[in-house]
Amino acid sequence: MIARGMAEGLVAYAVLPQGVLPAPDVRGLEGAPTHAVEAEGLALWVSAHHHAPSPGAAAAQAHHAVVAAALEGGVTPVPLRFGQWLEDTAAAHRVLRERAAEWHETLERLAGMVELGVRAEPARAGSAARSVRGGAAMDGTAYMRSLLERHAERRATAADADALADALHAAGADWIRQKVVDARPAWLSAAYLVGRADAPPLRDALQRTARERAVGSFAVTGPWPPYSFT
Amino acid sequence: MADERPARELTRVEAEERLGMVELVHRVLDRGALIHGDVIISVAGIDLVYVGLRVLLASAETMRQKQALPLRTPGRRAAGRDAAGRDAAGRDAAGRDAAGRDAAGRDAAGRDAAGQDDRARDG
Repeated sequence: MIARGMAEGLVAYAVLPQGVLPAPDVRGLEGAPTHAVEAEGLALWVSAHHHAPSPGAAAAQAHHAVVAAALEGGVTPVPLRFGQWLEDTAAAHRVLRERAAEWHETLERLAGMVELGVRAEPARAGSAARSVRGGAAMDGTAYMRSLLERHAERRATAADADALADALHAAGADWIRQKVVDARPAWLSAAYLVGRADAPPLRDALQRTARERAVGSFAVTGPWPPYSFT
Repeated sequence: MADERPARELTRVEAEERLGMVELVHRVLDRGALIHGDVIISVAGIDLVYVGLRVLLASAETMRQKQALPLRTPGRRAAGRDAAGRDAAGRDAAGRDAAGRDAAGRDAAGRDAAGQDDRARDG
């Protein structure tokens, strides 16, 4: 339940091992100072607020800044999704008790890891979007034919995205520990879990593969805290 | 009078900044561990249960006008829902339609209409 009036609640950002605390200059949403609630060998990074902060792009950036500060401190955190609200410190302790085993396992799995992201559009995707135009001037047969052509092109584009995903994974297989792939007909979004030291060579291998395959548009982002692997 | 200036192409730096923001928002809002089953936050005095980027970035006023989002005050059924908890568009509290597909057309297992799984190749 959302806190109202002057009651104070906590916005939560990340879970880290006990003793790993935010630096004094790490600020959370609305510039609030951050601190850690510690229990069960864990540290939950939070900031105190009189009301649940309003969402928006700036709030999302502020949330990420705290999680990124944890990562830059040298210990890979369990990143929490934006908008996690706890009524008070007792609720934070309760959550740490209830989820301790799961979060210890996740911290162990993510130790020393970061996430790289890929966004790609196969070269064919642009033509698929243009394939049905000027419908007002078509008769019924021509219109149905254009729909069939568009369907065939979308299938081909999806196959291109799948092939690109396979090629990227093969190129980075030496470094990728885990992956999440979301292949849609017109684009590919992927996240790769990789050791910190392996992020630069993986980035190079992914970019080299994209160049060799003449991908329409391609970008590697990160390193990110491992949001996609929690 | 219409603005007849040609659309300006983004510089590479601007495009990279925009992509970085999209990627950041995607991760912060759609990924990351959950403490609770639902993410609950207050927008303009309305307790909002949201799933995903589109809901969070929609303005509270737009949400009010279009009633396109599942609004809920914890402990009370959201206004405009029938006895089965479905809204005017036939979607349930999780935004799924009668066939169990969400707004992106994915079913409960995350597969889209073509049977493609979001994490089909999850290593």
